[in-house]
Amino acid sequence: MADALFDRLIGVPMTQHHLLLADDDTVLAELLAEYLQGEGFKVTLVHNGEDALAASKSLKDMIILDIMMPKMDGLEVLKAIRQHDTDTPVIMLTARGDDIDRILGLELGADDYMPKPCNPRELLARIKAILRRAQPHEKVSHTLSDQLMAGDLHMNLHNRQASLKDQALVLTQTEFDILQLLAKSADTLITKQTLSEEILGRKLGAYDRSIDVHISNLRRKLSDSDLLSIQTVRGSGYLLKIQRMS
Amino acid sequence: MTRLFLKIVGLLLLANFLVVAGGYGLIKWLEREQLLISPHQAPQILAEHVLDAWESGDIHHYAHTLGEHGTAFALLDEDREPLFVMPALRRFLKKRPALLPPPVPRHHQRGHDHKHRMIKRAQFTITISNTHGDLFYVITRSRHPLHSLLPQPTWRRYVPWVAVALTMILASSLISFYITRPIRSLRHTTQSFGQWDLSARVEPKVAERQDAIGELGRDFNRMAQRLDDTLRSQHQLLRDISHELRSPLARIQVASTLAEQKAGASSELQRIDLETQRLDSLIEAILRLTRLNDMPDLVFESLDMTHLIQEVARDARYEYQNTDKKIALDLGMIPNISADYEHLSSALENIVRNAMYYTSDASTVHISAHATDTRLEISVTDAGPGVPEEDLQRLFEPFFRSDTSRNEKTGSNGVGLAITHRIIELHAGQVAARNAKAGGLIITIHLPLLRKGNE
Repeated sequence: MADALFDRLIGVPMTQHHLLLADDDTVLAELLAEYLQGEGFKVTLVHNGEDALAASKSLKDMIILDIMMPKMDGLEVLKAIRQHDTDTPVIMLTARGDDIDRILGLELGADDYMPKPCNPRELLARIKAILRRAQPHEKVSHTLSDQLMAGDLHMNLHNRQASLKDQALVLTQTEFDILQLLAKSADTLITKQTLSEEILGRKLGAYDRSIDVHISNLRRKLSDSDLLSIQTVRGSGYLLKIQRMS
Repeated sequence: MTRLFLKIVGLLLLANFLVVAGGYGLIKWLEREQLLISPHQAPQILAEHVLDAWESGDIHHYAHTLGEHGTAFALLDEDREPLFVMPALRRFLKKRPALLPPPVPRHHQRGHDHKHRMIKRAQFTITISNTHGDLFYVITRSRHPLHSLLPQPTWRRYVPWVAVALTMILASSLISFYITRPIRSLRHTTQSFGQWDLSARVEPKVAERQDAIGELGRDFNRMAQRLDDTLRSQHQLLRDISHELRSPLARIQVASTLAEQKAGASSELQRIDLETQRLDSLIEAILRLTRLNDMPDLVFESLDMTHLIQEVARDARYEYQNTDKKIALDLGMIPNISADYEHLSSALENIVRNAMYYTSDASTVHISAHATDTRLEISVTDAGPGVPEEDLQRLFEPFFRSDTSRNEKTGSNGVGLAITHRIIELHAGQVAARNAKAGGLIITIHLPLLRKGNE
């Protein structure tokens, strides 16, 4: 069923993506919506947390959440959304320099964040990076290359489902992509720069902890694994270590 | 103040009392246990030994031993008939029977005996009774003080001195502990406060004392609270201002992008974009500096500095790859240091970026790093115009501009070096600037090295 849904959403070429934009600054939100519409998106605008949560229930391709919102702040909305929906990508809009909010957001399952005030072009780039990753891979290879095995982890790249020790592993889009990248070249170092560029579609910034937070989320989710562990190579990056069964 | 004064007086009195009472008690105890023999006890003890020797039949041997030390004794029974007389006393006993004490009532107990004074040089007559209640007289005469002749190891002589010294040390430690403990606690608090732990307060045990030290503690706490509040509200104000500035800034940014989307790019729109970005990065830098001042969140770990410097240099090379400005590294053997990776690398990056900007075309920026026993020295030397001597000191102040020509095109916001300064300070290091003899600016960072075994 998930497959059918997926195909209906993404499979049709040139779909107009539907974004939910939640920001209490009405003027800014309207300007942003206008810009994004100009780039070919369908945008639904809401201005507080409760409305955002309500609107997220109907199908959206991506949710863009401001953290500071009346009634229910962005983090609470995100938490509520993630309880029933881990697939829909979420970008958080955070006050610049507010690392705590940013990290909390990522820990709660946001896919990326955008510091405010944001350059709309940068926001557009991040939206596109996440949507591009969500696109199905080459349609032709439906067989072996769609499956990725690493230790007791099994990833189906076609329907983007993962399982650990035959138990379904619930991952956000971004976590899925990072894990896929690590698992493809297991036991080799993947630099943070590579991860940032491949996954988030941008160069690694000086204070950008996004990758680290995603990795720490993944570690938590992989903690049941007997064979897999994500190791930190300090100052460089990460590698997925597979313990061979003796 | 008087309270503390009285406390110290009281303590000193107490300590002196302890020394005297302790010493006295100790000596009394030692004497009772016969570990120590005082002159006035010696004849008594000697008499007991004589009696014991008589009763155990060992008297000849004992007499011989004492005789060698120049001591003579005679043992008489109740009726003053000699039981044993050493030769040296025979004549004396015959001549002077009158010297002998009068008979003593029979109920007299051992240990409570009468002593009879001597004629010149240590002659004693001791009345003593054995366990059956029989009475004896012991006459002793010696050429030396008796107590030195009794079997007594030499160390016992020093016991009183050692005892007094020990009690004195104990008493002085008590005083000094009582006075220094709260001062140490105060010092600990002021140090933490000095290192930007603004929540540091004097512990209640000290602050609640009803004396001068307690007052000092309470004064400090009040001052700390006021400073903390001030800094907090200042920080809050800066946060609020920048937040308020950002909303319109964000709208301008989106509006200009929207205008470009609709009407196509123009140099005016590009200018608006550029200036809003500068304003934005300026606000960010101010926020960073405020945060570094108010609530630094550094994560210290053991860092490979060679790697960090190489990374910063690589980034700078990448940025300037299309120019003929070069970077040269001269790195010695550098042990790991305890530092925050992100912060320290951005601190160094600010300096290197500055140097790259000001160094003249076709010149080289030199980065060198060498370690001594205790610290690491990193210096960045450019081949630029340098900075007027009088401005060197102020280079690390926020928004300080040495001369106007230095900033127009830079896009640097005037806060970078202040941030660097603060970060190095948080690493317990120093950063300083000086002009090179050959022209150009040298910025030097000193960082303390990890102690051995800490890595």
